[in-house]
Amino acid sequence: MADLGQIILLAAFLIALFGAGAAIVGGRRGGAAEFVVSARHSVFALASLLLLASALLVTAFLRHDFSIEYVYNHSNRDMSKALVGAAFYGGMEGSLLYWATVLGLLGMAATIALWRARSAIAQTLLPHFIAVLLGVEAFFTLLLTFVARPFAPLAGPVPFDGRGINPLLRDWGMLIHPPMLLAGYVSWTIPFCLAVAALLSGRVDNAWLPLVRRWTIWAWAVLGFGNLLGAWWAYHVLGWGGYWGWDPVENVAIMPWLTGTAFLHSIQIQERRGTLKVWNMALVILTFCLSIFGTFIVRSGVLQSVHSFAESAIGPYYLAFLTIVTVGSVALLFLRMPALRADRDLDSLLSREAAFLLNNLLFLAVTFAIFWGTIYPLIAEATQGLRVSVGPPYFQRVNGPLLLAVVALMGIGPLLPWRRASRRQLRRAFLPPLAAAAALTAALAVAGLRQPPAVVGVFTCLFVAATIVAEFYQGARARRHGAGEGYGAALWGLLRRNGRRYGGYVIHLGIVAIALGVIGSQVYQTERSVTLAPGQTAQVGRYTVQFDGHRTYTDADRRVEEGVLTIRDGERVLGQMLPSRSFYRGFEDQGTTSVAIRTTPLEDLYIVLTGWDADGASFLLAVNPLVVWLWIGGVVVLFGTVFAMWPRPVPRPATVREREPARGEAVAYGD
Amino acid sequence: MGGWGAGALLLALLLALCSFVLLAPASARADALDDQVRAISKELRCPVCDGETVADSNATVSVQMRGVIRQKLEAGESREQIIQHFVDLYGISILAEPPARGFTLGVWVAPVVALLVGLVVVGIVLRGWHRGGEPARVPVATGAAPALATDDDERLERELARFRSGGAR
Repeated sequence: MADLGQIILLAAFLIALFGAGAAIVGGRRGGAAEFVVSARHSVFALASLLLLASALLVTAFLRHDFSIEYVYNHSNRDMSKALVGAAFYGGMEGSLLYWATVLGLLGMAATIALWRARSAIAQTLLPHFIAVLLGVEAFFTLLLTFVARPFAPLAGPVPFDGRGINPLLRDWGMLIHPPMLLAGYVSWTIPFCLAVAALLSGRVDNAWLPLVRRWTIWAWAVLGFGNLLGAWWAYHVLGWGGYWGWDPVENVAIMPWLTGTAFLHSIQIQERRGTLKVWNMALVILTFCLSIFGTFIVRSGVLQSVHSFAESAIGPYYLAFLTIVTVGSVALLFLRMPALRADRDLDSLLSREAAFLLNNLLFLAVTFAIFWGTIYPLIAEATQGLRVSVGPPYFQRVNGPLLLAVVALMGIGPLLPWRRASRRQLRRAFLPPLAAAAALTAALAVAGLRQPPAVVGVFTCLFVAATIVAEFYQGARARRHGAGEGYGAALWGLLRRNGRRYGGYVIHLGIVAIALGVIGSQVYQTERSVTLAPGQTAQVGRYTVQFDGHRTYTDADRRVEEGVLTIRDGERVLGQMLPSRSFYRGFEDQGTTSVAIRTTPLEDLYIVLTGWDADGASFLLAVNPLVVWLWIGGVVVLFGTVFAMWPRPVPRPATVREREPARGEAVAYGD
Repeated sequence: MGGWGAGALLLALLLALCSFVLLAPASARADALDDQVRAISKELRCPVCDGETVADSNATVSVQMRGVIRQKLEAGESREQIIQHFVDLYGISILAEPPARGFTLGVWVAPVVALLVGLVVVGIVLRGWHRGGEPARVPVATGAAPALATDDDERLERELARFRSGGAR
């Protein structure tokens, strides 16, 4: 089976090369259409081969085929079936295969969409798109075939059992967070390939934007959700009381999301006003490069230890790829610069365009601050021989205000009309939400909201929420008047017919919920570490925590140490909480935490068992206000994304007949 | 050009908002001994882990360091003295937050400089667009103007505008 896998991957590599070549030949002026057909078939063949290879690897895992080194290194017989299957992407080789496979499938979907869209621009871009896509795939299949081989056989006799997986990853979060995050990285390849295709073909006007729009929202949502799942996992499994630690790996995962968010907004200026063409190209290229950079950092270990860089077999390849992509795209961008002139000018600094520009600037500033803080230890060591660390306080202090400004813009932007705003318009638009937010904040201040950063943050969030509610209200009233619908039907109609706009507002609402969760938990977190003898109590927030005792039990594959705690609010018993630590067979020196969390809409009581002996046990007790709103906000964002991507009802043909083929296609195949 | 004045004012307000949060104290003061230990250990990086602070890590050395912090606090040492003790032992790499002086000042300054440079660039770009030629006066209704704006959006905008100006009741 191992041989078969290797042969399939080699075939995939050759097909990627062949298809890229055919696409290049077919894409030249006057190129024969047969070559483009060949290239298209290569995309399909490649996706099928990669899917087959992935299926083979998963099968090898499920059959415990320890003659394959990768299977031996990343699974054992104790693990549940689901976890063994997930171990497929638990290591470098497997995650590369996963990368290539997902890209193969997404690339196939995008190719079909372009091919079926009979518009001229789609046909022009198709061969160039395939050439870039298969070029990227050639790189990954090259790695899979020669460098990081998932089907490499294990030297020596086949052992009875494998080495198992890192106990931290033995959680169902492992089943969804890493593949989601990786899929997010991968998804940005499609907008990148479309952008480079536009540059290559010379069709750099605004025509490629409708083709990229939905892929952008898709990639943005998947990467964002991957990050949020990571936060959820950290909060529930890692047990340090937080959800985001500004760890290098987290930092590189959020960077492409930030630049992608900037891109998502700035293409709207180009669609509306025809400006920022160069900028948008640069943004999508940057986003893709950061995605590659992210996978590179995560997999090469370059940031944890500078010295492992030279030893890592895959690092230099990634670096070379990253260099080629960056230099190539930038050179291409410069080459096309004359064609990328703006169509028209900006009218006023006080317009939605300007707000979008400021949004871009802020997102890039946050990205830069994160990038800088992440690589600064490398610079310091390389230039000064100085070992420094840049930890969470730096990132919080620098990014906190910038992100708050981003949130504020979310309220300001939609209130500003395109082109220019008059004073009267501004007063009408800004006064009601500002007044509502001020009144609510004042009420909260009376109720005890006193910390200055929280007051400013909450006020900003409420202002944004008020503007969104007002937008929905006005839109629904307009529809109600126009179409005679009830409010419910009018709201539905807004989301359904203007999904891009109102789905966007729903997403903003979700982001506000997340922002409130961050503000609450950052400013008002209460933490204590306590050591308790049986029967003793400790107070944290309004909760009284009583340590009843400590018990040990063994499962099939682990030993569990558990603390039993009774929680009271005053005299009222709220229930028991059971924080524990597990020690898996084969990893006895590496305990994994199981946090006990009691969630209410206002706050989480968060308890971690940190140590124990014959006399008692020690705990981290924390009250984390509003954390649940992070997860609720995430669901709201997802909901809004669905509406933003959902095909709108086919418009009345009388007004759009000349554009219908392209539109119909986008509707059916998701751009 | 009221748009520019008001826009600048809005920008200034945003910046003020930023700086206000930047300068505000990071968190409330801790009083109980446990909480003091935790506050100090949050400023120190676990020497053997990847990106965890002493407060969050359960590595043996972090547990020991928390013990040392507790002893020193009980002996009456100040926060600064305790942190200096660990800096003397491990060097400044033990600090979770790089000090804003010497070489590590760069880590703090660069993002601020980048933001300011970005603001200037955006300003110049905007001015250039604004001056460059006639302001666009293409009526939206010709269909030529907004390259790809969708009809529904346009209609909605129009209806909303009509509605807001009181045309619809």
